[in-house]
Amino acid sequence: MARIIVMPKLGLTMKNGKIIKWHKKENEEVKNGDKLFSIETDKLTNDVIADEDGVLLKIIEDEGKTVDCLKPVAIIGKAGEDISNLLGNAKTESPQEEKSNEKIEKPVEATAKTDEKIKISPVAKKMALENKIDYTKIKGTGPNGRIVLEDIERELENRKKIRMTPTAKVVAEELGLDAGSIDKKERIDKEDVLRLSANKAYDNLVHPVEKRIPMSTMRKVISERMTQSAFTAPTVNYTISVDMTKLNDIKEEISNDYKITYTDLIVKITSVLLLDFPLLNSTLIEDEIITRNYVNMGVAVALEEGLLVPVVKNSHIKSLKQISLEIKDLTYRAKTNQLTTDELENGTFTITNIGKFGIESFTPIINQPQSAILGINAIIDKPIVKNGQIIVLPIMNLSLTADHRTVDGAVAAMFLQELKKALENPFAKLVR
Amino acid sequence: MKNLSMMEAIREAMTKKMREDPTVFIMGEDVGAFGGCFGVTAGMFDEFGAERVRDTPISEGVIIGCAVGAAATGTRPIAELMFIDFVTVGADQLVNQAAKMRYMVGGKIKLPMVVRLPLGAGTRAAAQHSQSLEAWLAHIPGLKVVYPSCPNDAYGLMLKAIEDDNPVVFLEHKILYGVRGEVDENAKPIEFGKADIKREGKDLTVAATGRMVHEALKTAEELSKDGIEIEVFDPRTLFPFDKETLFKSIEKTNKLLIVSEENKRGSFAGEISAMVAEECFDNLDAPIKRLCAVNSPVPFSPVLEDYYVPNAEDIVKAVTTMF
Repeated sequence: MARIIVMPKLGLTMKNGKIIKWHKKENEEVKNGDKLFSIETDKLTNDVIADEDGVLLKIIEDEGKTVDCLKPVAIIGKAGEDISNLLGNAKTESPQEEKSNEKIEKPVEATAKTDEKIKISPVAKKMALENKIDYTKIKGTGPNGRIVLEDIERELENRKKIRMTPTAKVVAEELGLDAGSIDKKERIDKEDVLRLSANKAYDNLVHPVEKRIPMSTMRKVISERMTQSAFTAPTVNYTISVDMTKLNDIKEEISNDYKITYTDLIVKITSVLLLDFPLLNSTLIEDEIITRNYVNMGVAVALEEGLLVPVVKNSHIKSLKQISLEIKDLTYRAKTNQLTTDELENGTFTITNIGKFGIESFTPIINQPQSAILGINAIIDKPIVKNGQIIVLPIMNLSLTADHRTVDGAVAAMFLQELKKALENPFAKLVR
Repeated sequence: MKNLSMMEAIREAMTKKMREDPTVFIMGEDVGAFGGCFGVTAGMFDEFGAERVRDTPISEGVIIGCAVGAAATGTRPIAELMFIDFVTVGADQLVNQAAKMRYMVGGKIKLPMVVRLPLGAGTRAAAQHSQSLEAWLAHIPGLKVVYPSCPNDAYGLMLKAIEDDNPVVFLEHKILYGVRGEVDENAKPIEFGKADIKREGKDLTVAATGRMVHEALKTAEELSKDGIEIEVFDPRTLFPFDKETLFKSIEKTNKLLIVSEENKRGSFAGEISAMVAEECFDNLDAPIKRLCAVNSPVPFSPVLEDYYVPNAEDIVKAVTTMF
């Protein structure tokens, strides 16, 4: 029995997906477990896998189409099966398709209108294009008003007529420069020619090249969301320095057992502490502040082409080891494009660690709709005055960005103060 | 250097080759003692005798068919038909035998034969003795088609035609038989596929064959007075065709007028036009124009026949529409 394959809903907030590649052709055999097609959402790309054997009888939505979730994209069945019935259903169920057809037709109409026939001989057209002459503005003098070679040559001649001082002319000739490329309304003088010469020499030296790279979906999403965040939240940045001596010792000690990172430790401690500071773990929606009795900790992962923030759900109750393993797993799958949209959603707070690059302080941008983001910096040995003595301690700065609409300065400051204490004396929080 | 008529030039070339090579011989209707329908072979019977200047029955199939057999078995026949119009009678021998034989036996034989075909209007010879059928012949793979316009070209091309190991169709315009010109009888044979620019000019290329070359040259003098310099391109051989020289000329002038005595429909002029449109399009500054005979049988009435064939006046008119 043939059945309709739909655009899957890969996460609670996923509304539609773009088909970026069909791995099977129409009438090609499909085995359970084969890749059917790849989709791109505003968060990630994903492969849709066949869950039964059969033949791909019909591709309803082609590559490049964006399809609403649960709308038909293909029909799978036995070879030669009659699918007209299903096709009818697919049509009525998918008003999206008609809409996109309309979209395609419109620009065609528009170009047809502007594309008025201009009579121009082949050689004249070629010469016009080579010299970047807009021949649509030239009046043809050939038979039947056709634009002919002579018309283009006259246009070129007109272009060459340039006013310049005698000295400028001599200098241009000496330097072998075409003064026609100087864009100036007044008479061209010697200085203009010399400037052109200098610029040319410089251009030859540096060979400036600019490339235009279309944004990937991920870049577009990052761009949109960062812009939205920056223009939505009035933020305040806070920095505090932390003595990492004890946390360092703990890390060393645990690492004898299993590998652990500062991020793991800070995620664990911050998650626990956030329960005491619900505003930093809140979301502002219209005129309501949503607070939680749980923490879903987003951990920023840098990728070659962008960044993703997978979420450690309920990090406030997870053990350090659980958190560590989960972050390792999420990071690996983020880098290999295997995350599901659910794993990217519903974060309540974000930690981003760029300490390994030696950064000492920065001002991260909040991952909306969260209220704050904590930046972790490099741990650097610094001379500190303690009890009248200068001693060297491993110091790390924390960079907090908080949304002033929900988090006042005092609240943020208290949070950081407590976080500093918790990191400097970590046992209480770690064993929770 | 000798001043010869085109007829004499053709005769000189054949004679030279027959003196050099005993396997070369001529056959055709009345080519022997009578000296040929138009007198091209006059005197050759006396020099070479009845064996090598052979009269044939009135059968074009026999003339061309015998030439095919003779060529296949080691001689170099030159077959003369009285008029190109009669090639239709010998068409099977020419098109299905001569043109195909070397190909079909995988090159195991050579087929060195020349078929001389007087053609063209202007002799008041009416519809069945005046046609220009070169497009038919150039259409057939396996035939080379030569069409000289002056004594020197006729001489050099005839030498080459006799030397060629493939069937060569040699077109002789009847009106041009009497046209005189300097001939270098010691010159090398003219290679096939090498066109000749008969006159240089910068404003427009006229591609013309046979008698039309002369009309074009007359036109050129006329137009030169008005400041239009036309270039006259004579392909000399229709196949192989010298595209390179034609394209080079059009690169310079950007305009092409093709003048031909053929009926316009399905003419070789159309083939030239297509080649240029396909491969030299970007160099055109005006639509290609063809000036040909009207699409009718050649009229017998002298007034109508003169109207039928393009002349210098027609060419001037055609050229002026292209500027």
